[in-house]
Amino acid sequence: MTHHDDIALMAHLMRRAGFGAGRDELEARVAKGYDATVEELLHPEEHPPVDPYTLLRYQPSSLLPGGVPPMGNVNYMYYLVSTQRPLEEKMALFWHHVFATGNSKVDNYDQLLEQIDLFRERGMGNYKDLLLTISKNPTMIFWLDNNQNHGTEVNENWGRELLELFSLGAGNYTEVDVREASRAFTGWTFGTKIPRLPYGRFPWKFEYRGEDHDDGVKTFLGHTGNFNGEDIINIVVEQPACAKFICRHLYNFFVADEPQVPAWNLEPPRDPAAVEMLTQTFRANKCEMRPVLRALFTSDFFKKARYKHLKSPAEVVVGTLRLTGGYDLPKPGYGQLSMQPSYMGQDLLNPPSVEGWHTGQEWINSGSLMARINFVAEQVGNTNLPGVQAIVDRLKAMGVLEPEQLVDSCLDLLGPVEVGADTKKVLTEQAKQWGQIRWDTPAHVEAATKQTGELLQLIVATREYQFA
Amino acid sequence: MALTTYVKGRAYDWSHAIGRASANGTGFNYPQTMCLGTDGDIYVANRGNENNFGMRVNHIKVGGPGEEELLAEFATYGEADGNTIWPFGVAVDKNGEVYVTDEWKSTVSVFDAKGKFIRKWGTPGSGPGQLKGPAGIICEPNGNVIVVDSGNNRLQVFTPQGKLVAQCGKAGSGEGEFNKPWGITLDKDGNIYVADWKNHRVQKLSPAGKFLMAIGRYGKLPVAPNAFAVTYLGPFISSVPATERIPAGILNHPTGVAVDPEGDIYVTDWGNHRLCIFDKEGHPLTHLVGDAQVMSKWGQQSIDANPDMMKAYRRVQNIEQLWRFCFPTAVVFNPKTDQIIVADSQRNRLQVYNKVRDYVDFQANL
Amino acid sequence: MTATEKDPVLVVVQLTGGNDYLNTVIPYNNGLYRDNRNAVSIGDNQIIHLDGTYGFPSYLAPVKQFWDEGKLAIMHGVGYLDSPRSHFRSMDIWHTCEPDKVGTEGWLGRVVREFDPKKENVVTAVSFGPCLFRALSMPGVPVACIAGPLETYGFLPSIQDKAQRLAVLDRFSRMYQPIPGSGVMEYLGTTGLDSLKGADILKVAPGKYKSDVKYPNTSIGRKLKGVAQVHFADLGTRVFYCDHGSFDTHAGQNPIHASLWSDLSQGLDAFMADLRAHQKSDNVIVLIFSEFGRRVRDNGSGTDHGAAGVTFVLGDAVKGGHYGEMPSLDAKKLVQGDLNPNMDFRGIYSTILDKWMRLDPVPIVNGRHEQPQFLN
Repeated sequence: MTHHDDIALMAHLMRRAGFGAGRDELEARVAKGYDATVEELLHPEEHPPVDPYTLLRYQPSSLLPGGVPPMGNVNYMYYLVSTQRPLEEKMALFWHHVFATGNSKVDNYDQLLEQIDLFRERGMGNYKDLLLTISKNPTMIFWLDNNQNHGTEVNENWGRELLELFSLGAGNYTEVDVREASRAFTGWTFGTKIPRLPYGRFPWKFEYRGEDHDDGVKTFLGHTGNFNGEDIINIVVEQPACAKFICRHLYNFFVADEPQVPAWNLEPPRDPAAVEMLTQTFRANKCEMRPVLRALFTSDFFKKARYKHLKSPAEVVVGTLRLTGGYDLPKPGYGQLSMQPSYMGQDLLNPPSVEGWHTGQEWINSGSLMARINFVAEQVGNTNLPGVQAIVDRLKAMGVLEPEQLVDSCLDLLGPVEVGADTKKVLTEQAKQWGQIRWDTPAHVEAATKQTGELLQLIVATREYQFA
Repeated sequence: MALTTYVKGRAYDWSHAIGRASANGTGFNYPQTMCLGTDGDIYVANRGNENNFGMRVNHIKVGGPGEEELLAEFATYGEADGNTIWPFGVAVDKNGEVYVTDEWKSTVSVFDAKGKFIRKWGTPGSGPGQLKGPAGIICEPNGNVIVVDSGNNRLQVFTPQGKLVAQCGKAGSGEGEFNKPWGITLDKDGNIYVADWKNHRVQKLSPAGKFLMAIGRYGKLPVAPNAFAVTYLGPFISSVPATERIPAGILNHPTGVAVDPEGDIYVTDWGNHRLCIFDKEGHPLTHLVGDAQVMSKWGQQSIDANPDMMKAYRRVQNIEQLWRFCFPTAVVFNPKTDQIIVADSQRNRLQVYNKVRDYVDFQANL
Repeated sequence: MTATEKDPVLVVVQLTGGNDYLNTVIPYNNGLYRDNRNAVSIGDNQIIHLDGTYGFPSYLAPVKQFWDEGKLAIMHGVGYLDSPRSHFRSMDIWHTCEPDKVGTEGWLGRVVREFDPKKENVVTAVSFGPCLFRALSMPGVPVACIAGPLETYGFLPSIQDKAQRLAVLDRFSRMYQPIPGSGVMEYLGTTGLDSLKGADILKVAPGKYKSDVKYPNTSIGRKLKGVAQVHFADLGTRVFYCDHGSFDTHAGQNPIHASLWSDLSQGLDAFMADLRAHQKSDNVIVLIFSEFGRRVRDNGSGTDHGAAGVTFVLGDAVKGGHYGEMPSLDAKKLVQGDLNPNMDFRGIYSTILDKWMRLDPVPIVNGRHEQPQFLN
């Protein structure tokens, strides 16, 4: 592989397994090697966690933000933008997509943040443990009404979504299974929490109430016994459909866009062999996520999937901010930044429903497209931001640039971004309007910097740039 | 749970709580620092949030339980003179003028005792007399003010008009060096105490800025198995009293410091959710973890207006989390009343303790 | 496609945060009002009487004129069963008409789909706010969301040089030519061009707009002026949406409430005057709602989240008056300290849909609800 290919591949890995990386970081990682980088990403403990104390010093209201936006998002965005453990944070986002829990009902951003932290801590561990943990997560219990699921009066909301959206997918269980699973989770609830007035938010705590549990015999997915919730989870993760469902989620999130989840029992995966390989790995490793992720990131299908994934708003915003830099605390204004994904259709900590966000093409409508392009353009057009300045500096070091060179270099430094011939033609027209780019006098530097900023804006406005 | 803590001839009685979460009016919004006024009153600098409300200094009459009153609010959010973006430090001089630092604008604004804007100074930067993210502030008896120039990791002394008089300190972890310092106080001899936040210690300096002593070293309180996490960063509530397990003298991001007339030193151990008390040599005496078992006056008004909140309170199994400090940021000692006032930041209230002078222990066989 | 001039138009003003019903429409003779409001009641000399029972605080004076003209309908006790007292959940319920489950389709999104099923007019709905309100959200239904000034609405406003921006936008349109059969790239192309078209259409509105009416230079004043500009340009826009707030007055309520309502009253005053001066008022009604009312008893400084609230509909086609009645303030009649709703908000929507927009309300609001008769 040429150096350029290595950089392009590493950029692809970092966009998917993280939120992108600037050129200096990519070069350092290429020197370290692809497989070694994958291992580093899989072992976040080698790097320090985000410093929450710095966040709390400058944004104290982001710890227990209660119901008022944007402070919950400020907390989350701070972690996303400043983490040195990109895959850990990306996996937390992955599980947030899967176990979609929303503030529209929960009305306690602090509890959602705690749930995200749980994903950070366990997201790369064992899926079975994670499923059990989330079953006991009070935020999830409230979101899906399991606190209303009583021995005498079953509420099926959690039982159903556990099977349909969190483990097996539609078509892999019956209505009887939903009912029986729900019975097994009766009594899984939380204690009354201290109310928000007058001192702010307090947490829920999981409670198992034996007296409210239906301890009769249940028949679930062919097994019969006096099941409790743990037993249901043990049975669920043994189902072949479970491994396949989770691995298809991984493929959709990390490799290439699949149809929306509700269609999965109707439409086959776009790459059945890839999903099958991941599924085998998942089963062979007894639900351990790390080996599956390793297999995914080192596979040929992953390496060939460049630009086959339409960036989610979170990826757009976080990727841009990590590229441009300039958002380290202390600084006010994180509130507006943290709301940007919601303007593009992804209100973090508040997915539209338990189904999570519809991904891929459905991220795009006339309003969200304008919001995403304008946001990214405003950032990359700001040549005062350190990451943009770094691009300008690299161009400067190349000396006099012909229009084609300017276009090629900007595409390269922003990704590398791969664009079609028609797009390239239009970009080159723009560069030709300016002619040769020179850096020899202050006036030339000023003009060249401005033109670079404008070309970067036009590049991030392309269709191709909307993909990762 | 003990409401009186007794140690080495000193007794601390929990007195009452003041405040509630409120972006204006009778309550607080994330106090960062506070200071004593000239008449038993206090000023509290509130950080607010990204919706640009809650930022302000409120002036409170303290008194005994139920006697608190809101006297004034000023330095609210805004760009104009008399407004602040990120209010942080607050100090009062002997004439009753109030100095407020703005951590974002890197300025010091001066108000009269009623909160009317008088003047301001300060420009952002790292040169002599410039400020970078100023935090705590304190007035010296001679009228000069010491600003914790946190972003520059130094202290700078100014005249009341903002003329630079002296400076000391630089970035680092050695003696007289700082890492993002927060609060500041003086003892009766004019010695300077600084909460050296990221170095996890309090430094005592002479009035001339010479290093005298460091108190504390980094440590997190051990978390008991099955402890209940009030936030993912603590406090952690457990049936095992924390005092039995704590190594002495540890601090986790200390933020505020006060000294009483006997020289005892009070430090808000922010990240460990407690108030640590040291003797004048810096030896640990005890700690207080918050005991707000009685609702504050203003807090009770919120409960009274909301019957569903009252219902919820009556069904809570473990109420202890409500009593405890959650990231306390600041402490003042009022020598006239022997009150120790702690800003319980994440709970948006103050907790008041009395240092009891004539405490006689009870008979154990009562 | 342009609508005929007399197509009915709905302007929605959302009072975000929970407007305090009792301090907006004050039952000034009711002793229980004063008993419960030690800290935040409106003084007698600050109340302008609507009649022998209710009054507005003086800062609603411009709105009082509409009442006197018979153009303001006051809907009392609005809400729904088991009000959750959460901003998010309550707002979602108002937006999706789904009190029992988390809904994803907005009621106005459904309206837009009915009006323009083939998506021929990308500005059928125009929202003034940084984000798409869930009321307008519906997969595949385009809505123009104007976050900043109308004048610079569109792609790449960060390129400030006008000529350069035009050149860049021209390049943009060429880069987005849909290539048939290219799947998601084709979709992106169509969407990008739709969006560009919407911006081009809306951009002309400020240029065409001429008026002597001065709007207050407030956030809501600017939004209402934007509504007037687009409405006057006859672009076929049928639904306008803007928000105003925050009405979440837990503390120091009186000055905040006064300032929010002064801004809104003055804005509405200018807006109606503008519409009337241009003979554009007869096909416009304004719906003003908030997600809930506030608690009856104050907390010593403000008021906390409550249940029943007040909803207004304003317009020259509106039959002014009181609709329904204020729920009892008697402690025994309160639910968790709150006024018990006695009018379902979906009834108000239904009247608007049925009598104004001429649409079947049942599938839009998810059921049948009694319609208050504030429209002929």
